[in-house]
Amino acid sequence: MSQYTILSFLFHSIRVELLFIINYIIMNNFSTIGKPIIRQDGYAKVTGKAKFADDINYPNQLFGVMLRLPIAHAKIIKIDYSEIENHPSIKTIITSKDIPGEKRIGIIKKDQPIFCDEKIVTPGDVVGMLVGESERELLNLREKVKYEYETLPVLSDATKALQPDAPLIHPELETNLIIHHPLRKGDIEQGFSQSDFILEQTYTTQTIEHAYIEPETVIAVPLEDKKGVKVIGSIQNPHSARNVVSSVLGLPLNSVRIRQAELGGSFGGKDDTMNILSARTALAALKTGQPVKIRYSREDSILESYKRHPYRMKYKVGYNEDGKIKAMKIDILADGGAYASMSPFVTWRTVVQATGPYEIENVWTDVRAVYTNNPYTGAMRGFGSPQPIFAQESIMDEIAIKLNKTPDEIRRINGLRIGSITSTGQKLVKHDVNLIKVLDAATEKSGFTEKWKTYKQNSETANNYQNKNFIAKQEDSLFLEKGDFIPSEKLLKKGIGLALSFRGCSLGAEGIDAAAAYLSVQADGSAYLISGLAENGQGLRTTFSIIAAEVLGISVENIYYLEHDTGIIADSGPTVASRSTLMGGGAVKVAAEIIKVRLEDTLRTEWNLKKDEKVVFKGGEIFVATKPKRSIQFKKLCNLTYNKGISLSTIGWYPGPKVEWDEEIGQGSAYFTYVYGCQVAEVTVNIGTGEVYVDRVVAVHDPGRVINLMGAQGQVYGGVTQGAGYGLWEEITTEEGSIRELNFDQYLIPTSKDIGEIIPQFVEGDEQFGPWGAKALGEPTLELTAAAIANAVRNAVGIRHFSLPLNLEEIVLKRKLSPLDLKRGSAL
Amino acid sequence: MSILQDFDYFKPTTIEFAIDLISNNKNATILAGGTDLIVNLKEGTATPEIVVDIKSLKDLKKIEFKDNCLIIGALVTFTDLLESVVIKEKFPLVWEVSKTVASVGIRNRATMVGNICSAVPCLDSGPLLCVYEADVNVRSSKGKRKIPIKDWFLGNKKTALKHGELVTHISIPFPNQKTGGCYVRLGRYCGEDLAQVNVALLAFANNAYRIAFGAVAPTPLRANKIESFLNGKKINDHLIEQAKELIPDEISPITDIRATKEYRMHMAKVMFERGIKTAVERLNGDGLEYGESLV
Repeated sequence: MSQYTILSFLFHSIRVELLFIINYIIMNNFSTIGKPIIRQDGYAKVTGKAKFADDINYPNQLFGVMLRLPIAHAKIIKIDYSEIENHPSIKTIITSKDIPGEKRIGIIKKDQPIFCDEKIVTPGDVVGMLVGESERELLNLREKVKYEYETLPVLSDATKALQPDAPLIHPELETNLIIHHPLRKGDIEQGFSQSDFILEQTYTTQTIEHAYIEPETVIAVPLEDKKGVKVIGSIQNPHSARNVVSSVLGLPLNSVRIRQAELGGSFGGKDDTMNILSARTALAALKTGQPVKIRYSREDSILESYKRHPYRMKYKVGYNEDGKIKAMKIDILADGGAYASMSPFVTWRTVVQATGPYEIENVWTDVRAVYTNNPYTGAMRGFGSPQPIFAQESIMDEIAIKLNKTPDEIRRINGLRIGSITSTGQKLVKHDVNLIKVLDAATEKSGFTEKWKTYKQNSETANNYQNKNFIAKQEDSLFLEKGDFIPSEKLLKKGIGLALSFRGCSLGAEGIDAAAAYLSVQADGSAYLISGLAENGQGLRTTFSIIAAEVLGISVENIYYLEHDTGIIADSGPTVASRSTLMGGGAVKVAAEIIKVRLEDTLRTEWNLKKDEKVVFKGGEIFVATKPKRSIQFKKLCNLTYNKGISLSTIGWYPGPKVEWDEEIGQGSAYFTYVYGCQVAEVTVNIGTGEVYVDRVVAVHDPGRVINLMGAQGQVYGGVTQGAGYGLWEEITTEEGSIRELNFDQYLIPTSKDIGEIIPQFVEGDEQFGPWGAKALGEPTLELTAAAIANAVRNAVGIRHFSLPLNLEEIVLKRKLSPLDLKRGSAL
Repeated sequence: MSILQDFDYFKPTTIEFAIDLISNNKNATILAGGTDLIVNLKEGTATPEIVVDIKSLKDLKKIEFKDNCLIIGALVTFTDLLESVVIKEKFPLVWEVSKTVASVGIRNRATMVGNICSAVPCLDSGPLLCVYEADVNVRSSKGKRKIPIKDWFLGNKKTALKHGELVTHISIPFPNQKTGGCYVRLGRYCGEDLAQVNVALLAFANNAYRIAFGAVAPTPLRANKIESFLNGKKINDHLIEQAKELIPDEISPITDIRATKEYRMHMAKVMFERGIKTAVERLNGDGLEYGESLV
C-alpha cells in the first residue's frame, strides 16, 4: 500500500467518521420532531367542547329516516306509502326517482345504489328516506310503510358463490366474481418437487366491524341560489364524498362543498357509507330547500356500514430440512358481500403481501373476492393484511416446530433483506430493509427465545384439563386435605408468540399518489395550515403542525390548523393506507420550505449575507450559523417580508414516485417503499375456561422517522388493542345475511382491563421519501397482534387454532359459535 | 337512540300513592335504577302507559341488619351494597356478587330488587338469593306478602309479582352457623357482559351445601340432587368428580348469541368445581379473598 493510498484511506475514514458525526448532530438536532407533543385537539375533545357533526344544527333543519326491508335478498314489487304520504309530519319522501345524476356508485364497479329501486341484495339496503321535522315522528311513521316483494334465494356462504347454481347477486354482471388477482413467480411445481417437506393448512378469519365511537352523522345545507350544496359530517375523505355527491346530483364538482366535522373515529369505515349518506342528505336538501340531517343509531350504523372481509386461506408450503422455504402456493377467497366497494384494492394488497416478508423463489397465488348477500366489506385499517398475516405467521411457526427450530430462527433464514426479491419480483433497494433489525429488537426486548422454549416444554408435559384432577398423596385415601387441591394457577398456561410483517407504504399501484398542503404565514409570524388529507382522529393536525414548525424554527402553538373543507384545499386522494404523514407531511414540508426560502431571501438582502453563509431558523429566531449572536425574531422577519409585498402563502405539492404493475401475472414494483414490524405477545391461557389474557405486547416498528413521539406511541397502543380485539373477541356473524350483533352488548371490543402492558419501540433511519424519512406507522401496529397472540396461544397450550377469533368457545371446544355450519380452518 | 313512545311519568313521594298508581293502571311499570327499563323503552320491548319513578321513596333506600336478618330495600344499588360495612362483614357473598355486576356506572344505578324483577335467566342476584333462601317482600293495597325466592322466579322475565304489587325489599336470614360462600361468573371479556353461566355456593360448617346455577335454565335453580349427594360429606376431589357427573341432570342450557349449550355445560362443571373448592376453603378460613377473580 503506497503512502498515498494510506493517506487517502485515512482521509476517507476520517471523512466518513466526520460525516457520520455531522449526520448524527443533524439527526439529533431537531427542535420539535420526535418529541412528545400533546395533540392540538386533545383539550377540546377530553372536555367535551369539540363539535362533532351531531352538535351542529341549523334553523329549519329536517331529518332523514331510512326505509329498509327486513330481509336480505328480494325483488321489490311495490312500496306503499299511502298511509303516511299525506301526514303533516312528512315533508317529502326521497327515492331513486329523485336522483338527477348517477343512481349507482362504486370506486371500481358502479354496483351500489344510493336508493335501491328494483331489488335489494343485503339487509342494510335502503329503498327510500322519509324527511320531516321530527325524527321521532318519522321513526314511528316508518312502521306504517308497506312493502310488497318477492324473496330471492340468499347466498350467505362465500365458498358457494362461484358454483354454477349460486344465486347471482348482480345478474347483469353474470358472475359473482368481483375480482381475481393472480400472482406467478418462478416454477411452483418444480419448487415443490425440490422441497424436502410439504405442509398444507387452511385458515379462516371473521367479519369485523370498525366500531368507531361516533355513529354516522351528516347535514346538507342548500346554497342560497339552490344550485349547490354544502355538506358537513363525520366524513373520512371529504374529497371522495364530494365526488360522489356531485355525480349523484349531476352538478359540477365546485357546486358541492364538503366540510369535515370533528371525527369520532373511522378506521377506514367512514368512506363509502358517508359518501352515500352525504348524497342522500344533499338530495333531500336540494328537494326541500332546507337543511337535512341524518344521524344513525348504533344499530343503523352496524347494519348498513361495510365491514372487514372474512377470508378463507389455503396455504401449501414446500421447505427444506435447513428451514429454507422453496415454494408457496396460496389460494384466498374473500367475502365481498353485496357490493364491490374496495374489494379489488383490499385483495390487491393481499396478493402483494400474502407470502409474508419472506424471500421465496416459487410463488403461485390466487386471491378472489366474491359477491354474497352478506353485509358488504370494504376498507378497514389493515386493508387486506391482517388476514394473510394470521395465516402466514401461523404456518411459519408450524414449520419451525416441525423442524425443531425456534420461530425467530425460521424467520431469520427466510426473511427479506436488502436486495431481496419479493413475490411480486420487486428488488428491495433504496430504503432500509429493517426486517431482521425489528425482529432482533423485539426478540431481545421480550426475551423471546428462552421463554418460547420453556413454555413449549410446559405445554408438552402438562396433562390436559380433563385428566388433571387427581393428585392424592395417598392413593388409597380419597379424602384430601385442604391444600391438596390442584391450585388454580395450574390451569393457567403461559405462552409467547411473535409475528413479523412487511407493508407497502401508501397506495402503491392502486392509484394516483400525490398530496397538497396550504401554508399561510401571517405578518405577525403566526400561520394557517391545512393539507388535503383529513384528520381521522390519528393526530394528523398535530403531526403536520410539527413538520411546519420544525422547518420554520417556530413553536407548534404558532400554527393554527384549519377545518377541512373541499373549497379551500386541493384533492389529495383519500386519508387511507397510513399515507398521511408520508404524503401529506411531505407536502407540508415542501410548503414550509418554500416559505422559508422567501424569508431567508429577505434576510440575505437585508443583512447583505454572502452566498455561503448558512442561515438557521431555530427557537423563533433566525441567525447566521457561524454568528449566532446576531439574530432576528421570526415574527419580525415575517413582518419585514410582508411589507416588501412578498407572498408568505403557498401550496406545497408532494407527488409519490412511480410504481409499475402487471396485473396478468402479479409482478412489478408494487410499492415505492416498505415498512417492517415485529410484535411479540405474551399471554396467559386458562385451559379450564378458554380465557386468553394478553399480559404484554412488545411492538417494534420502523416508521422511518418519528414526528410526534406521543402520537406514535398512541398509534401503537391503539393498534395493538384493536389487533387484540380481532384476535380474541370481535366478530360479526350473520344469519341469512342479517347481522346478529347490532350493538356493543353483543359485539365485544376490548376494554382497558382486557389488555396488559404494551411496549412500543421504534427503529428510525434516514429514508429518502417522506418528511425527514417518515414513512408509515398506523396500520402496521394492528395487523400483527392477532397473529402474535395466536402463536402465543399455540406456544401455551400446544394446539394450533386455525380460525379467528380465539374466543372462549374456540379455545375450549375448538368450534365457532355460529348458527351456520361455516367451514373452518384446519390442518389440511 | 331516543324513546319513541309516549307514557305518563309519576314520581310519588309516598309508598301509598305509588301503590295507588300501579293498582289503578293496568299497564304501569316501576322505575328505580332504570338500567333495564330505559333500554326496553327505547327498543320498544316495554310499552307502559305510566311509569312510576320510586326514587323519592327514601324508606326503600336502606340496608338494615336486625333480628338476624338482612334487609335490602328496593332502591339499594349494587354500589350501596359494596360500600356497606355490614354486607362486607356479615354477608361477604352478597358483596362478592355485587362486585361482579356489569360496570361501575351500571352498579351506581342498578338495584338488586330491580335485578330480580327483570328476572332474566342470567341475573347475578338469582343464584345468590337462592342459596341464602331469601324472601321477596311486596306490598299492595291489600297488605304485605312475603314470597320465598324459590317461588319468585316463574320463567324467563316472569315473576310471582301480581298486579298492584310493589317490591319493598329483599330479606336474607343470617345463617346460624359458620359459612363459606363463593360466586363464580363468567363473562366473555373484562368489559360489561351478561354471565354465560353463573353459580353461587354456600358451604356450612356441618358439611351441608347449597348450590344454585344461573343462565342454564329459564330461571335460576337450586342443584338439589348435587346438594343431597354432597350433604354430610367432607368435600374431596373424588366427590367433586362424582358431583360433576350429576350436573347434566340439573341444568338445561341453551345455545344463544353469547354461548353454545355445550360450552355452558362444560363451564358449569368447571365453575362448580372452582366454586365448591373455594367455598370450602373460605369456610376453613383460607382461600382467596372474597371478590377475587375465580375464572
